Amino acid sequence: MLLQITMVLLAAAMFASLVRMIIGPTIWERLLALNLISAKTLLLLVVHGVYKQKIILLDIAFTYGIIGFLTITLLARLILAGGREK
Amino acid sequence: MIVSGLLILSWIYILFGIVGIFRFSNMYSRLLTSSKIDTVASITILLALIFYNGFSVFSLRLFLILIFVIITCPISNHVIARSAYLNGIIIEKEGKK
Amino acid sequence: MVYIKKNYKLFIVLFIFWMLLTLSFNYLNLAAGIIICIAVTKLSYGIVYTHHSFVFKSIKISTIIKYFIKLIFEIYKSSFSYMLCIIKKDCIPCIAEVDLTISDPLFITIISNSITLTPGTMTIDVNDNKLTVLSLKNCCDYELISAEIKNKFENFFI
Repeated sequence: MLLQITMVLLAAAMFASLVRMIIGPTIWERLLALNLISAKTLLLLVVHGVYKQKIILLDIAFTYGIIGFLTITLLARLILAGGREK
Repeated sequence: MIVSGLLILSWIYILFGIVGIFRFSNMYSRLLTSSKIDTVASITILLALIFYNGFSVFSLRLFLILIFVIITCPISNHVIARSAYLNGIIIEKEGKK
Repeated sequence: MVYIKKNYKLFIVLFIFWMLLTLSFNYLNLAAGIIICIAVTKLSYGIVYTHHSFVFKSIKISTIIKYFIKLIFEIYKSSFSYMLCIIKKDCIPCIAEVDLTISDPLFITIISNSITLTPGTMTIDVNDNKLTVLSLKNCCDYELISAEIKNKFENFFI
């Protein structure tokens, strides 16, 4: 029961950061919202894997964490170098 | 008992993370607030799940994910903050309007 | 083969991580793990270790465990005082510069990561051993922030 409420709260938090991503004025706030969504996705996968007792979902969560970290790092370095407009 | 306590604590952290995104109007305050509360929330949830499973294969895998989160969460926050700072976003005073 | 016989520590650490991530004891799995770990150990000559020892200075395990417990305790303690800051909405972000006395790059990395991990402070930039720290406090006092950081983290490694 507690795990189900946790999953619902995580989904609501993801939706809220999606709203921030749409209305954010500068580009770094959108990047921040992307970071939040990636961390929440890892947590949602882990909690769902424990709830269903399937160990393969934890491996998928691990891979998702690595991909999210690489995405944030590469996008931040691209924006730091000036982006496409320079 | 300890599992339900840690899970309820993590709900409080997630709610404060949502509030922190929409409450401030400065960019650095938003960055400091939401990402930090989010890191603490993920550590709390992973610790609660380790205690929930006891001593098994699940706990070992969850412990690896916990170490991964502790190492990589600060780096991604630091990269965003550095990219905003070097591009010349000025820190504005907030709360003295 | 000579390098591996001298530097067996890296091979053992890599093989432990391989076994933790796969968790199956087939013969095929063990053979693949041994071959990949030997290749990685041989290719990382000159980057991670030279023919004397590791490039980095090694840390004791007991220090790491003590530091970890202290770090988690510090995170929870400062997160409670930080939630009050969200409710009252009286935060002013400010930038301070902190001079460290340690000059080893590994320790500077660990210290700046743990500064970013505790709520309320964040490392922005590093020049040799001068950290630029973005802090969120009610009062902007530079000396107080740097004294706090030195008391919390730096005293572990001296």
